[in-house]
Formats: sequence, structure tokens, C-alpha cells
Amino acid sequence: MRRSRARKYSITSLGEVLIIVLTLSSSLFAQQKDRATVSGFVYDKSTGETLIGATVFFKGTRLGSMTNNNGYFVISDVPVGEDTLVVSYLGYDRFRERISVRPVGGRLLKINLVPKAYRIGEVLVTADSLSMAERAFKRPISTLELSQSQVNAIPKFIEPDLLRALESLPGITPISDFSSALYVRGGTPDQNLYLIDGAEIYEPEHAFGIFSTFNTDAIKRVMVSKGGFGAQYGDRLSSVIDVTELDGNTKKFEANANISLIAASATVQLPVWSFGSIAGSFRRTYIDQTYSKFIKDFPNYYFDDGNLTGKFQLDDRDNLTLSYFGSEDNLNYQFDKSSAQSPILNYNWGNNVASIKWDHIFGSKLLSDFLGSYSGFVSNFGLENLQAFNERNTISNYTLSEGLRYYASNNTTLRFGAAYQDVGITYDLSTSDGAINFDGPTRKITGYAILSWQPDPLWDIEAGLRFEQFHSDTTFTHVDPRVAVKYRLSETSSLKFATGIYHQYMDSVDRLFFASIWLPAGSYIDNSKATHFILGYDKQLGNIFELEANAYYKSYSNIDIYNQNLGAQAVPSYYLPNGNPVYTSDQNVFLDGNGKSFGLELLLRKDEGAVTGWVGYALSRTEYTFPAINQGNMFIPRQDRTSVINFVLNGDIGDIMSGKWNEPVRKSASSWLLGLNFIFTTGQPITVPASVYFVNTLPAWDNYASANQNLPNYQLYPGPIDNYRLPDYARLDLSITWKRDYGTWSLAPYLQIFNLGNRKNVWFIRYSSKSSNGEIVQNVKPVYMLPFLPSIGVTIKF
Amino acid sequence: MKRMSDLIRKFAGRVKRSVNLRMLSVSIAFLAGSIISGCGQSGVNIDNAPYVPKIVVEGYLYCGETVGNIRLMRNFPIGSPVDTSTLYLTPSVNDVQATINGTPLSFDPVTQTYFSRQISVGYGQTYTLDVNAVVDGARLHTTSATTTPLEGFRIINRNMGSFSYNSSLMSLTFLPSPGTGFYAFSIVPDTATTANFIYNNVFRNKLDSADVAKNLNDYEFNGAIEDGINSYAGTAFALPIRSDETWFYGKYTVVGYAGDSNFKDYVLTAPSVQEPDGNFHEPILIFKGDGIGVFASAIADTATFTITR
Repeated sequence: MRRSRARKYSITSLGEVLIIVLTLSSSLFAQQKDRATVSGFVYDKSTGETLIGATVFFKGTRLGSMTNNNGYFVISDVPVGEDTLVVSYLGYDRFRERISVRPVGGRLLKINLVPKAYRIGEVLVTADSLSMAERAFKRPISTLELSQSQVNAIPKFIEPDLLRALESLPGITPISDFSSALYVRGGTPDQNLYLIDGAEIYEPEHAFGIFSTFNTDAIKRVMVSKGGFGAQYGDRLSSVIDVTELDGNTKKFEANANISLIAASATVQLPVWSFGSIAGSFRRTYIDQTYSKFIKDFPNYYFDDGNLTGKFQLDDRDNLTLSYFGSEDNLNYQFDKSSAQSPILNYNWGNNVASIKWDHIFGSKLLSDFLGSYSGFVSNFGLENLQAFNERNTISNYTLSEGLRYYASNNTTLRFGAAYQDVGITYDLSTSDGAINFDGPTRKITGYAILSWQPDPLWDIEAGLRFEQFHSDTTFTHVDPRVAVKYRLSETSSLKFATGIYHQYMDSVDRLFFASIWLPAGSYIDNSKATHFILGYDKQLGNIFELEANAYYKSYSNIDIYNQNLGAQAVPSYYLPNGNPVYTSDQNVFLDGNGKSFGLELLLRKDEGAVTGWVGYALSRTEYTFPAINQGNMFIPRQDRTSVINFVLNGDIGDIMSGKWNEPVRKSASSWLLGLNFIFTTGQPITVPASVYFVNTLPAWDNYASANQNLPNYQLYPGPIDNYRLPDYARLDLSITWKRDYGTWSLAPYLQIFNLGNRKNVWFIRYSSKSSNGEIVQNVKPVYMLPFLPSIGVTIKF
Repeated sequence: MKRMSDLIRKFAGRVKRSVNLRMLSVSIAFLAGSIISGCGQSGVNIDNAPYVPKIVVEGYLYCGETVGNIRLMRNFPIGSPVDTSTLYLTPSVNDVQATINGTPLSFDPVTQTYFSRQISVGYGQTYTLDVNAVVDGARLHTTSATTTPLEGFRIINRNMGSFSYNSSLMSLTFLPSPGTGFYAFSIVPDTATTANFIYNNVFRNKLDSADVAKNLNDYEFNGAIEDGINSYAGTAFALPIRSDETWFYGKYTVVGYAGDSNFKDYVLTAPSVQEPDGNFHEPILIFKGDGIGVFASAIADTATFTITR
């Protein structure tokens, strides 16, 4: 009783904080007459792409802002007169120009930044650029941003892969080499919200989970929030991975191509008249045309993915972006190709995501972005020449959303938004013994309001409320408060804190090698809830390194785990004429429980200079308590990793060896680039048998016991759940790229080595047992993950 | 080739000119450390999984019969010798007190089973087993309840007839019990030897007698399950007998069970505790306290058929 009251009080407190903040800030909205608003866009001069996250400020003041996802910035309360505007962005020459600030009639500035002619990196911070600490302060807590070059610089497994690149960050761990699914701070993959140009994507992985569906050549920027995210995001408990794709080059035709051992890809960007651009990319594997033709029993398989984005500037205040993303996997495998009657496995699936986005600027202080999107996923799995088995799973998501951002003053910004989502999920399975026909139409209405307020230069407060109403066969309504506070401790360090309540209305059944099946909350599946508490500390170390420390605590309620005993607990909904059952509900599909994750993460980053990279360490623990698992006792779920160490290093081999890590990257016609990626994690918890007991499977099988030469018929009984850990995981990857610039085009052949040390990391164990000489003897064979695996490829840009 | 060698020479020269020994040694040390920790083979040893003593129950109540043949046993740590002399829990050694609905069960020292002739099992009745015993010095207690099926289940064609191997005509027909959707069938030949094994079967036709002898039990004991069927339909159900359930020539006995939910949970979950990736999970065993195994009820019926050469 006391606990319940305490929790209620804490929620009320968060609401009270928001009301107080809103009240206090309302008096600050009025702008003084001797002050004005400066706004505009920041572009890449060579391509015309808008730059996200560029810092714009007036020299010698704290008057500044960062560009949003459209490259737009607003600085309010600027004193009228002349002042020097400075714009900086990683990898670009600094922009510095005196501008005249007028009280009324201010025009939209269009600032073009010139990319450095260098490879990557940036010159060291100077007096009039925004300091590393300031950039870190402006970044939300537990948030990381990666550009395309940063993603591609991390050594890869055969193909560049976004999700695998993210696994090199502390707090984000994979479950195995064979899966690119992300486990963020103890959360499960279905607790991650994946957005591509604002549209939600449900299955971000290709076949068997080895590769993700994001073609890194088409990515402009990736924002990853590991927790404490704002009220604009919802329906996921753990993290947000927000991918923005390339707009396209508005200045000239640009293309690159990449050929590796298993796939070829190409990306093309071109201007459209004087007001727009198109960017498109396509990737396809060709093992169906190579390996499958020559290697017996090799499955006939390929995947492809591609995207097309068109961005059009209708006028100074209106931008229209049309975006399409698609992926497709096809697998056809005949168990015995010499026999026409041999069973054939057919499996195909894919995503189709399309969106239209209209950005409009009202005056200079109010921005609107309207999004209409469709996101669909379809998978079909069937067997031929065997007993009937056909499975079909579809998800279709139609979304309409509107977001408004109002720059009330230089220290106050308001954001509002609302969205309507129509999500349909179907799952159909037909076999000779019955059928499953699940149809889960759902609707979701959301709204949010966020107030960002800097009461003085030391403080930055963001308070938000998110309203969610989810309709399936049941209606769930929640109002979730979110608060983030940042405080400058000194010129080089800051403290951050965030807390929030998060709800999720869909869960997935994860399957080894096969696409997950999503199911909505409803009569039988309760919505899940998480509460985040995160404390962060950022410190700039000597203009070179940035240290980020995060401590977090995340509690879960009503989270779900797939019920491994579903076969015994499924309840028929109706019957076919032959009396066989048809299942149409998701009753008993999941087991319901609570949990918590807590941990400490340290990240030492070096983003600037000739050599870049990071070292990360994460200490964490996740605990679950489910009434139907481990006899109701607490257990550690399989994604728990006590310790994770990451190390990533990129740079010119000469610079690395010579110790010129902090110098500007030299322009060079040719260069040898080295990439290293090291990861160490504590082993995966698993459950193993602890005892045997002697009970026949069927009563009439008593003779089985006497016929057994040694012992009666026995059954295995598992020990405490996830009480045993597989050996620790460690891996070092290396990439060497020779980059040659021929002026109008460049060539970059590369060698990638995955698992350089050929460490035999255990994926899982294959367990068997038998009775022998009066004893039940166990036989455990480890199944290893990927061995030493070199691959080569070449990237051509022109 | 010349161009490539020039390139390598140029690269080596550049590295040589620019190398900083301190940084080189740090880099090499770090790389070596990473490689060393990223090398090697991980061993897996699971012998030390914690063992917890349990009361193991194998007990079925059959409608229309008295209570009998209930086995109370113990479990054993895996990977260590099983002392079968201590397998069965007895009143004298383990201080067993067992009751069903409060009626004490008697112990038969010959069959090592518990029984009660005072309890005649009825249809649609609930029976609760309560057991106290000492195992490994620990006083354990468990209870489990079963509700017997309603009257109705019976096999219609108890004498199914004779068939040639792989005949599509082999089919057992049964009437269900209202409210019981789970039916299990044991299909076992009366004689199972290497001599009457069907070597020219459609699945594994390269077997010799040594292969068969090695896995004789697995070929001999087969079963089939019908789950979730419409028990209120009032019509008979057909259970086809498949070729992978008949590996021997000769007469077969089919025992059918209309099982309660405990029966179903045990049969469907206890033998399947390992997942495709090797991980284990708990079966559904309906016991409170320190018990595992099965305490269930059923209506049983029997049929026969013959596979001719």
C-alpha cells in the first residue's frame, strides 16, 4: 500500500514540475523591441544537403542554436545591430561573417559550409568555434549521433552495416554474430523504435538477422538514444534509432559504387532543376548467382534493398520530401536436389516504407512538419512436398503526424505534435492439424508537448508530456511525463539528468533465423511500461577527448517473454468442420512479468583530428521476475552482460604510427586507412539441466523403462533459469583501405578481417544425454560463432 | 605487379619516416592485447548446475478404477551415478505420508507403488494428492490436484484389422469426452525385435540389424496426439496411423487416453524442455511445493491392429 502511494506521488511531482515550468516561462515569451530573431538554413556547399546538428552562434556570446533535422536554426533575442555569426560543423570549414540584425523584416539566412578537403575529421577547436564541451552539453542525455562516414569507418562483417556499427557503442550489445538485433541497456530488440525518415520500421534485419536492411551509403545521419528520450517519441521502452537518409546533391551528379564478395551496391545523387534533388541507392547480394550454382546444398538465396528520396524546395519556407525504402529477401531451398519429391522450403519477406514530408516555416519562429507515411512488412513461409504448412505474417502501418516547433524566445522553445496511426497485424498459419488466423487491427492516437527552457546560461530544462491512446480489442490510455535537466558545472563539464515514463503497445515473438511476429496489446497482452532514471556527466579533456559517463536505472512492468510452452496452453477460438482447432487470439502467447536494468557506462571519444575513435565500458545488470518462470524467483535474462568493453580506432596508418593523432587530417592523393574494432562481453546466461527424474512419457510406456538396459525412461529437469553463463565473448576486427583520389573520382579497395584472432566464441551449446553404466551422461558440444573471416571489396566514387 | 611493389615500397617508406617509436610500441602493445584476448577457444563445462531434491510423482487416476500404481520417487543430480536402490520413496526409508483427498495411500513393497482400494475414481471429480517425504535429509512436501474427464471417450474400432505396411487405410476412430480436447495414443508393437523390423521402410531403408538394436526402444515406442479438437461436436474423430509410427511387422496395441489438463501439460512440455538453440526452459508440471512429474487423470481405452508382411 505504501509503495503504491509513493509511486503516485512521484508521478504527480513530475506533472507539477511541468506546470511550474510552463507558468514561469510564459512570462518570458514576449520579445523586447531592441532585439530580433535570426533564422535560416545551413547547407553543405558542395552538395546542397542540409546539415543536421550544425552549431550556429554569435561570437563571444551564448546566443546560439543547433540546426534541426531540416538544417533549420532560430536564434531569438539577438541584440539589434551588427554582430559576427559563426557556424561550425564537424568536417567543414568554419563559417564566420558579420551580419546586420534588424528588429523586423529579417530574412532567412542560407549559410553554405565548405567541406574540408580532408579525409575525415576537423581542425582542432579554436577560440571562436563551439567547444567540444558545448556541443556535448547541447546533446540530449544518452544520445549519440553518427554520420555516414563514421558508420562506414568501423570495420564491418563483409557488408557495411548500421546496426553492427551501433553494437560498438557502450550499452548496445548483440546477442550473437548471427544477429544484428540490438539489446540496449538490458532491453530487448522489440523495445527499440526504428525510424527511417520519420516512418516506423518493424523488421530492420535481412535474412537470418545477419545483416540489417539499412544501406549505409544512403544514410545521412543516425541518432541513437539509449534512454531518457523526449516526449516526441513513444511506443517503445528502451531506445530510439532515428535514421535520416540522404536528400541528394542539389549541385551536381554524384555516385558511388561498392562491390564486395557477396553484394554490389550503388548510390546516385543528382539535382532536379534548380530547386530539388534526388538520391537513390540499390544493393543486391548475388550468392544465388555464384555460390548456389557451384556449391551443392547451398541455398538459393538473395536479398536486395534500396531507397529513393526526392527533396524539393518549393520556396524559402516550404520543403517537400518524398521518400521510399524497400527491402526483399528470397530463400528457396530443396533438401535433396536430386529428388523432385524432396521437401522444398520457400521463405520470402520484405519491408516497404514510403513517406511524404512537408516542412513549412510560419514567420521565423514557428516551424511545422507534416508527415504521412506507410510502413509495411510481409513474410511468407511455406513447405512444398511435405504435409501442408504455410505461414503468412503482415504488418501495415499508416501514419499521419504533425509537429510544431515554436521558438518563443532565445531561451524558450515549445514543441507540440499529434499523430494518428492505423496499424494492422495479421498472422496466418495453416497445417493439416489446424490453423492460426490472427487479425489485429489497431489504432493509436498520440500527442505531445515539450517545453525547452534555459532559465540562465547554466541550466537547460526540457519538460514534456506525451498522451497515448491505443485501441485494439481493448483501449489503453496513458499520459507520460518526461523531464531532462542539464547543468553546466564548468566551461568543460556538465551534468545531465533525465527521467520519464514510457509505454509500449506491441511485442514481438523473436524466432531464431526467422522474422519476428509482432502482436498488439489487448485483452490477453497487457501494455508494457518502463521508467527511466539517467544521470550523466560530460567532461572535455584537453580539447582532444570527450568523456561521457552515464548511470541509469530502468524499471519494467508487464514486459513479455514468449511462452515456450504455448503448445500446451493455446486455446482454440473455433473449430473447422472436421473438428480441428482454429486459433485467432494471442492468449498465452507471452508470459508476463516485471524487471529492472541498471548500470554504468563510460565512453571516451575522440571525434576530431587525424585519428578518431572511442573506448567504452559498460557495467550492467538486468533482472526479471516472472510468476511463471523460475518458480517466480528473480532471474537474469539472456541479454544480460555484466561487462562490455568496446574499442574503435580509425585513421591513417602513418598518422597512427607517428603519434600525430591530434593534427588536422592532411590532404593526400593516396592514403592507407586503418580501422580497428574490438569488443569484449561477459558470457551469455543460459539454462542447463540440473537433475533427472524417471517418469514415462505415456503411462503405457512402462516397458520402455524395463527395456532400457541401464536406467528407466528419464526426463531432464532444468536448473535455475539462466544460472549458467557461456564463456566470455571477445573479437577484434580490422580493416585496411587504400584510398586513391584521382581528382574527379576516387577508388578505395579494402580488406576486412572479421575476428582477426579467430577466437572461437560460443554461440550456443548442443546438448545431448544418454544413460550409461547407471548414470545419465551429458554431452555438450559448443556451436561457435563466426571464425576468422576475411573479405575484400572496392568502393568507387565519382 | 611492378606498380603494386612500388606502392608497397612507398607505403613502407612512409611508415618508416613517420614512425614514432613510443606511439608504435603503445599501438603494438594494444593491438597484441586485443588479438590475444580475441584469440583462443572457449571451453564449456556445465557439470556444476545446482541440484535441488524433489519429490517425483508418476500417478494417473483412471475413471472407473480404484487408485493404484502411483510411484513416488526422487530426482538425481545429472552427471553423477544414479543409485536406483534409492529411486523409490518408501514409508520406512523416506517417512512418506501420502493421501488423496485425505485418504491415506498404502505402499506395495513388491511393486514399490502406492494405492488405495477405498477410492473409486469417478468422472468429472477432483482429486488432490498430498505427499510428505524426506529426501537427502530434507523434509519435502507437495500437492497436486486433477479433475477427471467427463464420460464419453471410447475407441469405436477396437479391432482395426490387418494392413500391409504403409497402408493409408490404417485409422483409429474414437468418440471424445465432452470438454476434453486432448487425446494421447500409445502405439506399441506386441513384439519388437530386429527380426520383425521393417527394413524396407520408407524413411530409413539403409538400416541393418545392429542399427536397429542400438535404438530399438525409439522404434518400438511411438505415440500420437490430438489436441484442441472439438469435443462437443458429437461426432467421431479419425486418427490416421502413420508409417513413422509402425516400424515392425506384427500385432500392435494402441492405448488411447482422454487426458485432463495435467496429462496434457506433462505430455506436451516435459519431454520438450530444450529449445532449438540449446537453451532449456521449465516444463509445466502442476505441483505446489517440492514436487515434479505428473499427477493426472484419464479415461483409457485400447485397440489393436496388425501389420502384415
